[in-house]
Amino acid sequence: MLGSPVWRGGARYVFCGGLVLGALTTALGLLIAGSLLRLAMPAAAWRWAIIAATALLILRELGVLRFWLPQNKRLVPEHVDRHGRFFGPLQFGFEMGTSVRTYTPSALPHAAALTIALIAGPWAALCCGAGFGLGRCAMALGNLYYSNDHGWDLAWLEHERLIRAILVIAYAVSAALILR
Amino acid sequence: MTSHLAASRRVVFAPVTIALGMVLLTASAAAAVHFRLSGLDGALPWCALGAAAGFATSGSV
Repeated sequence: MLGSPVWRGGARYVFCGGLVLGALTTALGLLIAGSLLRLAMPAAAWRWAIIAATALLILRELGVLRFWLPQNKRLVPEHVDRHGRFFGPLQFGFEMGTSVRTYTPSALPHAAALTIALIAGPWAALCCGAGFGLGRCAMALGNLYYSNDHGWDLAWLEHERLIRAILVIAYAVSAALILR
Repeated sequence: MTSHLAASRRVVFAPVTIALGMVLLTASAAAAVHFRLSGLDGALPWCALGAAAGFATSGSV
């Protein structure tokens, strides 16, 4: 993917803007859908449901449990540059940022989506969406600035267990701060 | 000089370093909550939650 023309020059930053916009769109969509779902149970019950679901998803992330999670296993076409130097990378980033048209190898986005849908307010949903988009930007820009030989992907694979453990800790502490 | 710069980039932009940056963001969120920093105590935990989840999907590239 990083060999695509959308990565050259300033297009990488447009791509990152698309990632953030896509994540914000998904967060607002989850907020609207979740606001209907919340009517089914009291807020305290949803809080316990989120705690239980997050615990299960974290165990899956750590490889303790294995179960199916919904994901749309389709990659955004690399040659979206036919839409131009601005709108091509923007569309590419937006579609990846929404996470509805990409592989999702982690369970943490599902946990975040549940948390937004069931307890977030509008401001919190926007903050979470922006954080998600910036987290994906960190991956994209880190990959580009690390080296020119796809070494970042190899470094990720080499330290994947450690990285996942660190991210689970960060996620669990953040969730605890929100659910306190 | 060039190799030194390349080595520095490999440390700064390494996946483990970025993941540790997410922990730093979470620690900032915890501090904001602990000290009740108006505005930040509500926003930073959500940003940290989203950032950890977003970076965790890196394997999808």
